Amino acid sequence: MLRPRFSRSRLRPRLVVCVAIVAGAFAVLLGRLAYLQVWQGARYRYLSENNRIRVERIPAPRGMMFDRNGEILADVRAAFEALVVPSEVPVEGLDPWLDRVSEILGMPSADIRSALEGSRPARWEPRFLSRITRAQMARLEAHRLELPGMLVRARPVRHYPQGPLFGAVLGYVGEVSARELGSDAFAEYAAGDVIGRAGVERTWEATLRGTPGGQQVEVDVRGRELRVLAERPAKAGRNLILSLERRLQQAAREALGDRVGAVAVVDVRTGDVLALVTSPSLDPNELARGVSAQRWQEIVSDPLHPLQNRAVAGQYPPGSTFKVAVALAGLAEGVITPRTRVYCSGAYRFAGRDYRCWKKAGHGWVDLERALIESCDVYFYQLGLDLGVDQIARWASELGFGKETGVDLPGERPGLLPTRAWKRRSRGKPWYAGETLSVAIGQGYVLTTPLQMAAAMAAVAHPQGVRFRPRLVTRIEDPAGRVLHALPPEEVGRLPFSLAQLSRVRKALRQVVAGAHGTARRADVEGLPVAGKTGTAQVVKLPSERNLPIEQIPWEHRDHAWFTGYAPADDPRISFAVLVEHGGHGGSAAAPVAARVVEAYRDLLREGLAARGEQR
Amino acid sequence: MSRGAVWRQIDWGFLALLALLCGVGLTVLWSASHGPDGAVASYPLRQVRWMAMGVLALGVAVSVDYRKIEAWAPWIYLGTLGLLGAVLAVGHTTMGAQRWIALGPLRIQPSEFAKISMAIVTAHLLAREPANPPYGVRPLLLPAGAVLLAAGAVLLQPDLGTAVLLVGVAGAQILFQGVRKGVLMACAGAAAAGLPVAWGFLHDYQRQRILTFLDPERDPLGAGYHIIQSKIAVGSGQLLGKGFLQGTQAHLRFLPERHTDFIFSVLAEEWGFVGAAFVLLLYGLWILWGLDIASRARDDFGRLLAVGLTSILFFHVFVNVGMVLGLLPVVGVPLPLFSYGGSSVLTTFVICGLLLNIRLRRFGRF
Repeated sequence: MLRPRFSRSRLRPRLVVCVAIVAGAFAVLLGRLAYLQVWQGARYRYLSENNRIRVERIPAPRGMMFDRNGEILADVRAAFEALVVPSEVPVEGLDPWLDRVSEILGMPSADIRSALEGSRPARWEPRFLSRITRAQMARLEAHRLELPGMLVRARPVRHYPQGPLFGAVLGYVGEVSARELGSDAFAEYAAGDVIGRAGVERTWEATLRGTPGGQQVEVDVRGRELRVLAERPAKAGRNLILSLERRLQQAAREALGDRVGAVAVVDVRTGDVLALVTSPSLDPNELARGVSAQRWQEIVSDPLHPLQNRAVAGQYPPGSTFKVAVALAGLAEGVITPRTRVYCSGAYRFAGRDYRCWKKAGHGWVDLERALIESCDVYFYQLGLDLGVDQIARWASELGFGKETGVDLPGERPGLLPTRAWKRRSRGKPWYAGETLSVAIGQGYVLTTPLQMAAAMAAVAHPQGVRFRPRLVTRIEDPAGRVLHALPPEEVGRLPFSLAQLSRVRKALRQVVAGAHGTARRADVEGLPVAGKTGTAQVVKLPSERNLPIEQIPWEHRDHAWFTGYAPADDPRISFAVLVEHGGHGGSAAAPVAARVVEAYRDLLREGLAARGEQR
Repeated sequence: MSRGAVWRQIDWGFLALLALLCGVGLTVLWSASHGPDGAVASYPLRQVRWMAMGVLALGVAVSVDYRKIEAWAPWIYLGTLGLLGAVLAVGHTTMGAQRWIALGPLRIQPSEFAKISMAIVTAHLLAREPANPPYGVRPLLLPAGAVLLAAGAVLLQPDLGTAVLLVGVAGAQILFQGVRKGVLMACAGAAAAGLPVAWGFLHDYQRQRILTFLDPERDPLGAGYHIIQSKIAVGSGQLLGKGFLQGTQAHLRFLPERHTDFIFSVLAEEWGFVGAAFVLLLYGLWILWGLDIASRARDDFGRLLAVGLTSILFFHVFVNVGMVLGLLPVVGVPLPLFSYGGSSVLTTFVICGLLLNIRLRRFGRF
């Protein structure tokens, strides 16, 4: 054992220091206690007995959203709510009071009575009764003296002036739920705060949200505010300038009408998403105001899924539009040249089975250009076999197929580019060569989304084959309109195809619309040359329905119609993809929608609006 | 030595003081657990259960010779580091910090127990140091390194309060031994230079607390509100208090965390300056008693351990009461034997057990 190093006499001074420290510390505490309780005691007693200090959160106005020309897409309006302070409601004469309030609010007096009951929260704290209109607020204010205890409060609520037009893109907001408030991810939120639930509102929540403020209000025992003791003002959220162009969006929406589908329009030179339509869609104002449980149930059980943004979350087989990718793959891989010819007899015999061309009579001898213009399936069956599925996937992925575009929207799906390895992994089965034939014409396992398609077409149309990440937000501004960040376009890659290979395909795409045998002659627009490719994504049908005219097939068994392309063909500015669910043929159902969009773009160009939007 | 002699050597005065603090603490907790509608939360009952477990823990802490505990010091240290590491690896997150690990149905908070184990480890390292105090730099390297490593692990949870407490307790033990003036000045200089760096490592909520403490108006809704309401509660108690169960601030739910960190304001509101000062004097007496035990210890380890344990109690009382009275930032330190909470109760009882242990064996006879 080690002997103690200190004798008791050497220990003593240390103990004295320790005792002095402890005594000093406790003297400070006692002194403070005496100051608060004896010196200032009367003041604090007054504060605690006669007055109450209440904390109120001041909600931050959410940032606004504008289209590229400064049209308002989302702003904030005041909404009013009626509150009641139970301790101030007269005990005598309660019945006339209840009748009056119930009549103004249109609320059963039993509900009001139950809101008055209970002691939690404290009876001098205002309790929420109902949302009210401006007219109801005016009546409450007018009868203020007869209705003690009634309070009116204004609250900022999200408002979307364009209604359902931009529904799924902008998303909507809702109140944070009690469950979310319990988790760490929502530490900065308090009950009553709103949060972006979908679309841009959700992706850009942190930017739009702002910082709520608060105030300490001194209130008397009856809950009336006497004065504000301390205040931290709310900081409004930042504004977003979106890439969207309101008139293009509107043209696309109207062209689609009440059909189910989606339209995506992308600026070839920047990746700006100019229009993103999904149908059906809901009015975000309805969702932002809050919907009843019954209405919500109705929305989520709707078989058409109106909350889904089909343009980014809907995955469809690309059909013949995929032939653009397969054609480029064939040229790049060197298995075909522009002069390579294939004989189409109307069907392709492979492994003892006939794979049919859509044209039963056959196309005869076709080269690459004719195969694209007339969408000859047999040519692409042969090309697909020569390439193999893995090579198709490799080159198609260079166009952006099979993975998310990275657009700033939640819920984007990647689509699917099948490969041998993928099938072994996900299905546990080997790849069959026959399946390559389906993939070569965009059927079978291949899946894409309308935005992915428009982005791929933008890359094909770009003079140097540059790919941009599609984006919705181009600028962030502070509430006063000063630019905080101007986001530059984001290049994500360059197509590995030679300019000669690209121009071969582009030439064919122009003839799809302009040529005498093109499949999309209905997409032709006066004054602005359009190029594109039609597609028909097969939907599983009953054998008996296969040869019926489209009007006689049940709607949900009809094929999906695609048309994707770009304009102007000689100097591409925009690319687009139109998908009409169960629309039948791409040329007849989807191409006219694209034509309406391009016409709207042409009109914008003529008015110089599109150019101005780019300068801003 | 007969059993009776051991019995007589138990420090009954210290135990009586402990029992008195428990009794007053439970009384205040009972009042703090009343809601505005008169309903009583289950905290007092649960606290009694924790105290019963605490008595058992105290018995264990007295009965094992503290010199045996010193022999275990290296293992205690490794175990502490292991548990703190486990918290970081698999800990449960509450309020943005990982402090708990679950062992079956039990949730344990290793940083609480690290307070005691680090006092043991530092006392051991200083006691077996061959150099004589006042110390230069070299003898301090090992104890300082050991503590900083453990404090760093606690800081990562992140639990700033406990990390600072670990460093403070070791500092008290080292200063008690004596340090050369030059070393002391160098440490002070390094601390001053390190502050801006440390600021960078603090979590946002910790910075907010410090800024709010310096200027409560900054956050009138959060911590600033706590401080102001706490001051109103304390001040409104005046000289004699509003009476048991009569505190309006507490029962109308103005007071946040009134059964845990802010329980002292319930006491001050209901019992006034007289009651609060009485409790502060009890705490003062308790801490001086700890120092007395340190002065009587038969060896360096015992004395250093007693100093460390006493300083744990002192820091808790001073920081908690200072916070409630608006003198110190809101750091979430419980008030021993008053604040509701199992870990805090158990830790306090084990500390008392170890102090009694050191006193009991001061003559080396048992």
